[in-house]
Amino acid sequence: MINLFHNELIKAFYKRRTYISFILITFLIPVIVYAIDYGAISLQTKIYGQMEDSFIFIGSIINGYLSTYIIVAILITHMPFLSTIIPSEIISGEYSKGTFRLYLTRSISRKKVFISKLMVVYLYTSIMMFYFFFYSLLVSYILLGGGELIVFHKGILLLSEDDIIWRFFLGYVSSNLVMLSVSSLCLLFSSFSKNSVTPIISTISIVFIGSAISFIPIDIFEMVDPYLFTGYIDIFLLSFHYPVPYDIFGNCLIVCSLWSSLFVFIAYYNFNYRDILE
Amino acid sequence: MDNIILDFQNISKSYKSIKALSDISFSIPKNSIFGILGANGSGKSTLMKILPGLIMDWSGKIFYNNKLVEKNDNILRKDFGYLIESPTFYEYLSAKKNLEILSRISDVKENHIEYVLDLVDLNHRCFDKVHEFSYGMKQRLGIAQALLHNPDIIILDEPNNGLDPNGIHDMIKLIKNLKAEGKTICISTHNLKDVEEICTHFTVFRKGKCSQSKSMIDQLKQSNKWLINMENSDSGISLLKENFKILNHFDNKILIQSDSEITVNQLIKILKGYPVSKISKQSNLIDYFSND
Repeated sequence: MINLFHNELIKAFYKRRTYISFILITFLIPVIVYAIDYGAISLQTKIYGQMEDSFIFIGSIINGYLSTYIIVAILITHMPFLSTIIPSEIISGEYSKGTFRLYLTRSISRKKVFISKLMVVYLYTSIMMFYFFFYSLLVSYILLGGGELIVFHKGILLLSEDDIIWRFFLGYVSSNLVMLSVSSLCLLFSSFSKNSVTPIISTISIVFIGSAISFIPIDIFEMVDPYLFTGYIDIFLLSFHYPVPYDIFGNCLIVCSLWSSLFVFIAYYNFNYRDILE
Repeated sequence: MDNIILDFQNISKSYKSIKALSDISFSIPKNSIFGILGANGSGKSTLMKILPGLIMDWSGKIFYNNKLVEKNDNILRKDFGYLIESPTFYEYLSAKKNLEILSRISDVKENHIEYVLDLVDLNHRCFDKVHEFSYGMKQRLGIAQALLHNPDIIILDEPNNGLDPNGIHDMIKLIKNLKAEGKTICISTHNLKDVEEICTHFTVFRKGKCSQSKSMIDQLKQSNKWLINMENSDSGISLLKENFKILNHFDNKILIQSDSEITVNQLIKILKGYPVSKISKQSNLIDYFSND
């Protein structure tokens, strides 16, 4: 199993496309942090607008934590796209290029091959999400420094510096769960597809439809939304509520795990019994 | 039966309404070079994909060393080396990296990679990425990966495809060497010359059905075709015309066919006094292939 996992790591990490998301995050985050720093005053004005009548602010509320909070809140909805990079190709790529004729004629079981591929997909998604969260935090902290975090939740919520990092970590863990579901869905499409574009388009389409259901305030949509993994894409924001709504995090864990298991099971079944004709 | 290493019984496979293999039955003798001869689309590659479990949905029985093997049995991958259809690799990796990936799942020591690369004369290019390789080099690398885990049976699908004459010569030499090492080689091809030149046994596939396996020696015995090398062959042609049908005449070579069985001694007697340098019996595989 370790050898299979090692092979999948080599196959994935020797490809240039694997690094697209990391390169994008590496260059984009400092630019946004710099932009937040540059436009701090106007941003501060926009954020608090009318509340200046009720509060007197001394100093700047813009710091590394708020910058990270804003970056993650804005970019988290785009992360599903980046989390499809590896799973979209990991099975379909081998079908289309015919390398399964090479790989699956060795004395290994398809089950183990599938598990090793799944491990790489989950590892990639988790590393990418970790990098996204904590690189944003690092760059923001270095450029803008620390301080208290002011967020909106039932009015203004002021979080002290020692009450922030664990919330980012909780946000990372829960957001990662959602992204693992997205990756599992993409892996499912990859097991059916003969090219790597179709799984990306199909996955993003489903995420788009799911997000639309979350945002459109119609009764029936509001009823089904808690049962869709796409309804938890912005769950990161709930980590900064007081008190933290752990019941919603629990729902997220159950819903995402169930959807991921379903996607993985169908993908495994299809991969295990599919004829390799290409 | 003791001499049979692989026995196919009533193998059938359909792709929706198309019957790719229909009750295929034949057997492959131990330490033979077995040719599966057939036109494109005759079902050769389908059978080769059934063996390692690339195709899962088929019917029939496969016996390996007289033991019935289950569908997708690991032994059909452990003891077998495959090169199926065109050679495919992880093109963004080097030749060596590709073989390292395969060696990790085949329980092969690293020094064996160098051995097989040497065997196919690719050691000097082992660190080059596969996408830089010509088709012929990829084909040779395909052979190397098939031999990597030192299998007892080597299944090669169109091994001479894309090779230049030197490459074909080397491939034939390699296959003959493998046989000399005691291995059984099964090659699929649509090229009659490949079969005539290297195979000890063969079967013919046609539209998903196949003939009984046959030995090349038996096939040769049944042939009445002879190739005569003769200096100044024009002088002998009139004599040969009186006794045989002339099939071809080129350079100093005359290809003849007799109506009845004839021995080499009888031929020598007829051609006594003529400058004959070589007489060889020619296979009538093409007739067998077209009439089968």
